[in-house]
Amino acid sequence: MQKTLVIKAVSSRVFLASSTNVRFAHAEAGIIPPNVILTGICKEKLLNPISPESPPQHPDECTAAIVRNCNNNIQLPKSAVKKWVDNFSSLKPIFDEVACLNPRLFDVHPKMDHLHQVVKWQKTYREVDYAWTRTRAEIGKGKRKPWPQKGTGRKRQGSTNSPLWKGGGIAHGPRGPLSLFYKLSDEILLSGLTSALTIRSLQNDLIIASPMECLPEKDFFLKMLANRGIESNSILFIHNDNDSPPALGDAIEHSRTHSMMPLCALNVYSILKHDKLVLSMDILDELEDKLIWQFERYDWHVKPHNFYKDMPGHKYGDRDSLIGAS
Amino acid sequence: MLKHLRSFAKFSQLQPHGQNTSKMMKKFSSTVAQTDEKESVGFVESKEDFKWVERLLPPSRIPNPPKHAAYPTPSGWFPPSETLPDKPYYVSRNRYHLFPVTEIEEDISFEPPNTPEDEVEVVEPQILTTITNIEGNLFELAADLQEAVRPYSEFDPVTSVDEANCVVYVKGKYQHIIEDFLGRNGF
Repeated sequence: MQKTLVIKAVSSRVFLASSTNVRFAHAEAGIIPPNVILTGICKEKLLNPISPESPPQHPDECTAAIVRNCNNNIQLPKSAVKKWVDNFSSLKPIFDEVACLNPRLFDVHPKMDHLHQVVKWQKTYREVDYAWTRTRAEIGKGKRKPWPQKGTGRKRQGSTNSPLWKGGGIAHGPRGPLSLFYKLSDEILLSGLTSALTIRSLQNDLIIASPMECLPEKDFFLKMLANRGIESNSILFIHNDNDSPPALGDAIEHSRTHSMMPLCALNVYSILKHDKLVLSMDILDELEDKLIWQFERYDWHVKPHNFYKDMPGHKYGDRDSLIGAS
Repeated sequence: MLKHLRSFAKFSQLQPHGQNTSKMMKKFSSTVAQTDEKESVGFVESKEDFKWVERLLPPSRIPNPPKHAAYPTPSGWFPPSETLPDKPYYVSRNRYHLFPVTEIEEDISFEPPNTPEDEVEVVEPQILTTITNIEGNLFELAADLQEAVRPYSEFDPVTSVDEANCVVYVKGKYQHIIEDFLGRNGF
């Protein structure tokens, strides 16, 4: 008698968190054994899998409408990096529009040693080592000589606090809070950030979204990701400093693998930690201007100060935004 | 005017410790300011005159050089060519629109630990010319530089390639020769 195996409804979160692609492959290849009865959500997912839509062509090869051009001059030998512009309000991706990105940020020779240095710096510069041990003066036991110098057969000892004794002080131990703060040069921080952006762009892990807001319907967000083939990836969403998409934020709030942050919080550690990077269209200008300015500015004479005409993000008339204002 | 003369006459007739001396003293005292409580003196903030400060503030960004009628300019500068040179590599200009070639003296001596001073070797620093901002095949660039430098060097020219950092080193001081080579090739 054949045993029948009944697969009951599995909660959607658990199902999606696992490697769904493997299960779809089994369903498509007809590997599900005949004595398996599917019920509930499993049946839907296995028999009607959502296949992700891929673009028909590479944006370089077709003449799609260019929606965003680079603000700064592109020098030889590089040309603009073209990416499809996605719309998160539509369930299925439409490959209509193309955005140009500056190659000085997204097409750079990636320096792995700089990446490593920046990630290490991000992890350690905030750390304070609170380890502290007592010296023989701080142990606070007796001052008395435990036994006389000569006569007993034992070693000569002067106090029970010495580091030789059990329960005595520690001679060269950690002494108090020690900060592990250090500064990295601008050059290394910049090359780390551009390398991270380049790696995401070259490995097809970069998505430009305009608008980045999804609809507040139930399960819209998950279906939208499934149609793009990124439902089992960890995703980092970057939005404008002032506006954050509310519906997308609600969808992401309880997810461990999705994060959302404003442009000012963009950092190498977060980019590398998540599989995919999603940039909203309205931050591309600010990102490009700020980074290109770093590549094209004069060297600081002593340290940055605020009496320059054309610093990005600072208005010389504003007292609140002065650097080093005391 | 007459009013003042009359009150002054009154003042001259007063006795020193009279009833109204304090009031009169205030009127004619030079140290006490005459302020009426009804008139309030306000101020208006205006940022219009800040334009005279703006003109004096320096720019933070290195400007693009203007388009000259003829190249090279009197200082000998010329821009990179607008078409891609036919080479398997590309050397781009630095932020000051100059060639990324520098001469350095690299200190290659090191003190082994725990030795007396007598035993430290005195090693001459290595004199190198570095070329940065390179994309593409660095080894071809190194070979081309060797040939460019050969007529000016006493010995066989030596080059070294650091692919991870995209830097090429040439042993010796050949900054002007290498800059000429790059300029001729349109970089």
